[in-house]
Amino acid sequence: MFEGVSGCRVAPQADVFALKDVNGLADVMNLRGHVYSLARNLTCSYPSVELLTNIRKSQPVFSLMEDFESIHKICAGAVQCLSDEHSYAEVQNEYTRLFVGPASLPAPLWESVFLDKEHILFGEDTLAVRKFYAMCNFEFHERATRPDDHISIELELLYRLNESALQIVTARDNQVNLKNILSICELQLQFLRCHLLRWAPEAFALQLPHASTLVYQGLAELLVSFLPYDAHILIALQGDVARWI
Amino acid sequence: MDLTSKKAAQISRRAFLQWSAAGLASSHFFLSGNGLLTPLSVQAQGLERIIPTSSNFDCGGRCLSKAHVLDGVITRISARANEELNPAVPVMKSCVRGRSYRKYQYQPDRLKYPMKRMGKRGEGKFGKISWEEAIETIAGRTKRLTDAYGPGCRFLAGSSGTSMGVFDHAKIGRRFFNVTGGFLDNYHNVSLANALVATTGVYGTGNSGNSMDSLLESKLIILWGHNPVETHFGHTNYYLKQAREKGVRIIVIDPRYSDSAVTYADLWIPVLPNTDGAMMDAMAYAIVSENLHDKHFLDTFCLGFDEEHMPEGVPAGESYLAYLMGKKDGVVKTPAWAERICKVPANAIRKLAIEYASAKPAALLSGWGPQRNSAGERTVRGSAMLCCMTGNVGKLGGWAGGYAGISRPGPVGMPIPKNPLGQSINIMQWTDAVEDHTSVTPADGLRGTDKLTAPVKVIYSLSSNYLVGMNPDINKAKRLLEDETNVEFIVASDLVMNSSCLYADILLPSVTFFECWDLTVSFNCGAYFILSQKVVEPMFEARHPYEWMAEVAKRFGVEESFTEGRTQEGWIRFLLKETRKKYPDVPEWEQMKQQGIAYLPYETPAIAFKNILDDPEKNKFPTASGKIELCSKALYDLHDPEVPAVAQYVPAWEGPEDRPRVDKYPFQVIGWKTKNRDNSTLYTHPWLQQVASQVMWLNPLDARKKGIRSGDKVRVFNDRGALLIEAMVTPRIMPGVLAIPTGAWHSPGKDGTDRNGCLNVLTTDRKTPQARGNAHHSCLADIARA
Repeated sequence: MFEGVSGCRVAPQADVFALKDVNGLADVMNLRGHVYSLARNLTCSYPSVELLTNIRKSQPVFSLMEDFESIHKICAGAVQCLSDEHSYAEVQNEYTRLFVGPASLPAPLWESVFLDKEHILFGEDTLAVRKFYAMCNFEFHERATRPDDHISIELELLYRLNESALQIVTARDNQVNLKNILSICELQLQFLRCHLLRWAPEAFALQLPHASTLVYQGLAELLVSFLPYDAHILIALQGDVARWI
Repeated sequence: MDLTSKKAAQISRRAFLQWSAAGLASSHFFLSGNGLLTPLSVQAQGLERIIPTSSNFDCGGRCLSKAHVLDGVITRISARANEELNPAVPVMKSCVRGRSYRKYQYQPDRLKYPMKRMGKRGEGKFGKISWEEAIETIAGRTKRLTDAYGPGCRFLAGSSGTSMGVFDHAKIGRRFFNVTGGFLDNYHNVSLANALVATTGVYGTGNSGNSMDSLLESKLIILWGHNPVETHFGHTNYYLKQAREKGVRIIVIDPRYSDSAVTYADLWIPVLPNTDGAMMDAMAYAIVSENLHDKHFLDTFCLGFDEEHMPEGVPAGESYLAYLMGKKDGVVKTPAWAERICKVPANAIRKLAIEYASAKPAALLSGWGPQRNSAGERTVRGSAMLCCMTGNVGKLGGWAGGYAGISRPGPVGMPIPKNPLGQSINIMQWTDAVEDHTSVTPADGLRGTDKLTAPVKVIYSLSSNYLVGMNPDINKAKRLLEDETNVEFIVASDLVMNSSCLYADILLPSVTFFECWDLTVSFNCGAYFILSQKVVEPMFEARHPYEWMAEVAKRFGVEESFTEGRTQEGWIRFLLKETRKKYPDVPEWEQMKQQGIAYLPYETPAIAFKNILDDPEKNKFPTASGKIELCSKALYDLHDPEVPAVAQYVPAWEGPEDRPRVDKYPFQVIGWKTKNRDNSTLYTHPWLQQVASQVMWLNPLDARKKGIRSGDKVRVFNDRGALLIEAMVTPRIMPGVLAIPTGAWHSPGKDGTDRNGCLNVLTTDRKTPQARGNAHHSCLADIARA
C-alpha cells in the first residue's frame, strides 16, 4: 500500500542559535507546545466548538509563526466554523472522511501502516512506539484495542515531553536543571527521527489532496513542513543549552 | 505548502530567534479531552504466546491458525506443523488465505466505530455515533416498525462471513428476532439450493456423500464441474492427491481447464455450460447401448429407469429409458445428438461413458458449479442417474452423486428458539418481499403461510454482503434499497465497508474470529471441529452482534431470554460441554485451548446408503416409495416441461439455446470460486489480490472475432448491467464462454458500470424451476473492447 521512508529525514547539525536566556527557551517551548497540542487535538477527535474557540483565542500566538501560512489557514478555518454552521458541519464531515471512515481513509494515520513491511495496524513499529513511550514513562491506556502509533498519540508524546521540559524551565524556584532539559530534547529528537519524521510528513502529503476545508488543509500542510522544521529547532535548543552547561 | 524540509534548517534559525522573544510565559494551549498517554503502569512482558484458533468464514477447508501473540498483539500466524497431522482425521494446513489472516485482522480499513447514515441511502455519507445512540436507535426503530407492520416485516441477511461457526452472526440474529416476536426467516442459500432439492427428490436426503477416504478405493474419479484445488471442500485434496499418486485415473469435466484439471486430470473434457444434461443423457444412452448398466441395482433399488419399474400413477412411456430411446419425441439421445448441444465430441462422450461404466467402483463427483444454473436441478438428477446406472451407489470407492452431504459428528449448535411467526421465504425471494410482498407465494417457496401480510421493512445484515454485492441481481437490489420508503430501517454489522454496508442506516463495526469465541467446522467431510479462540480484544469499538443485540433485547424487555445469562464465551463453554455429553472423547475446555482441535474419527469410511444395500429388507431410501426415484410421480404431476419427471435434458433459459436472447447476447458467462477468497470474503486483501488476478478468461477464437487481446480492458454487458474487466485470452476456456472469478466487490463508476469485474451486475435473480434457487451461471452477455 504505502512504501515506507527509509532512514531519518533530518541530519544532525550543530547550529548555534544563541538564545539570550532561559526566558527565550521557555518561549520556544511554549510555541512548540501550542503547535503540538493544536495538531494533536485536531487529529484526536472531532473538532469541538471548544477546540475551535481555543484556536481562535490563540491566534495572536500562532501569528508569531510567520513562516507557516498553514497555521493561519487553520485559524481562519476555525473562525469561519465558529461563525457559520455550514462550515462547521463541513469540518465535521471532513474529520469523518479523513480520520474515521467508514470508507478507506486516504491516509490511515498510523505509523505501522506506512512503515511495517505488511502495512498493517499493530505492526512491529507499533510495538517499537509502545517501547518508546515506556522509555519516556508513558503508556497508551487503550493499547489493547487501539494501536499506540496513531498520529494523535505520537503528537501527544512530543507535547508531553515538551511540557515536562517547559515545567523545568519555568519552575524558577531553583536553578534550572539544564541536563534534564538536554535529555528531554534528545528524547524528542530521537522520537522525531526514528518515528514521526519517517512517516507523518509523507502521510499528510498523501492526505492533503483529499482535504477540502481550511482547517484540515492547513493541518496537513502544517505537519508536512513543521515536523522536519521542529527537528532543527530541537537541535538548536540542544546546542544552546549544552553551551550553558 | 509552506516549505520543504530542505529549507527548514535555514528558516528555523530566524524563526527560532523570533520565537524566543515572544514573551509567551503566560499563554497556554492545552490538550482537549483526556490525555491519551498516562503514566506507565505495567512493563511489557515480552513473552510470546502461541494460541490455536481458526477462521469461521464460509471456507471449504477449516485449518488451524496459530496466532503468535506478544503484549496483546498478533505478531504472526503459523500453520499446523507436518508432524501434527492426524491421518485418521486430516486437518488441512493453511493455504494462502489462512496464511494471510494477520494482514486481514490488522487491515487499516476495518470499520472502527458505530456510524449512522447522514446522506441519502447508498450515498456513502456516515457520521460517527456512540454505541448508546446506535443501540437506542436500533431498539427504537425496530420496535416502531414491528408495532406498525408486525414481526413479519423483519428480515435477516446473513452471513457467509461467519457461517462456519456455531456462533454464526446470523444464528444470533435469528435468536434475537425469535425472542422478540419472530421474523420473516429464510432458507436455502445461493451455494447449493438446486443440488439439495434435486438430490432430496431422488434419494430422499441430501446426505448422498461418502467420506473422502472412500476415493482411495476408486478405479476412476470424475470431477464434474468440481474444482477442489481452489475451493478445498474439506480435505478432498488430501485424498485426491493420494489417489493420483496411487495411479487412479482422474477425469475433469469443466468448461474451464481449471486448477483442479491442471493438478489432477489425466483427461479434460470441456462442456458447454448449461448443457451438462445433454452430455449425461448421451452417456446414459451409450452405457445402455453397450449393455453396461447395472440392471440388478436399477431393478432392485430404483423407480423410473425402465417401463417395468415405474412409480404408481405415472403412465407408460415416461421412463428414462423411453426418453433415451426417443419413444415420445422421436429423438434418440445419442452422443451425436448431444455433441451438437454440449460441444463434446460424440466419440469422447461414448468413450467416457464406457470407461465410467466399466471401472468398478468409480466416483463421479458433481460439483456445485453446474447446479448453479437454470438447468441445475436436472443436472444434479442426471449425475445421480449415472451413479445409479453404473451401480456405484452405496459402495466404497463409488459415489452416489448429487448434493453429497454427509452425516457426521460435530459440535452441538447454538439453540435457536422457535420462530413464533413460523414464516420463511426462499432466500431468492427477499427482493420480491420488499418490492411487492403480495407477489410472494408458496409456489415460489413461501413457507408457513399462504401470503405475506407485510412487506420487508427492517433488515439486519450481519457479516454478509448478500444485500447488494453478492445478490444475484445487484442493480435491482440497489434500486429497491435506495428507495427509503421500501425497507425503512437497515442495520449492517461488518468488518469493512462493502457495497451492502453502503445501504445501512446504522453501520456497526464487527469482530473478527481473532476477537471472539466460536466452535468452527469444515465443509461436509471433515470429522473434527476447532475451538476458535479469542486471541486479542476487539479493535477500536468493534462489538460482536451478540453484545449489542443483548442491549437491544434489554430494551425489548427480553434480555434474559436472549442471553440466558451467558456471555459470548459462556455460550461456547456451554456448547462444548453439551458436545462432550454426546461425544465424551471431545477434550475439555482447558485442553481444547491447548490443542485447538477435537477429532471425531469415523471407525470405517462413511458410505451413503451402504446400510440399504447391505440389508434392503430392513433399510429403505427415505423417499415416499422407499426407492431411488429416478422418475418422480410428484414431479410428473407438475406437468412442467422445465421440471420433467425424469432427469432429461431441457434447454436452459439464459443458456446457449435461449433464442432470441442468445442472438443479442451470444456469450455464456460463468463464474468460478477462486483460491484467493471465500465467496467475496477477503476480496480487498492486497496479498490475495496478487494471488489471482481479477481477469476474464476468453478463448482465442472469440478474442480474434472481437479484436481483443490479453490485457485489454473489456466491457461485458447485458440488459441487467455492465462491468469492466481485463481480458485474459486463453485456450483454458472453451469458445463461446467467458469466465469471470466470482466475489469481486461491486464498485460502480458514475455511469453505473462496475469497475471491479463484479459478475453479479450481469447475473439474474430469476429462480430455478424446481428448487426456486439461484442460476448465477446461466447468464448471457456480450463483450466489447472498452
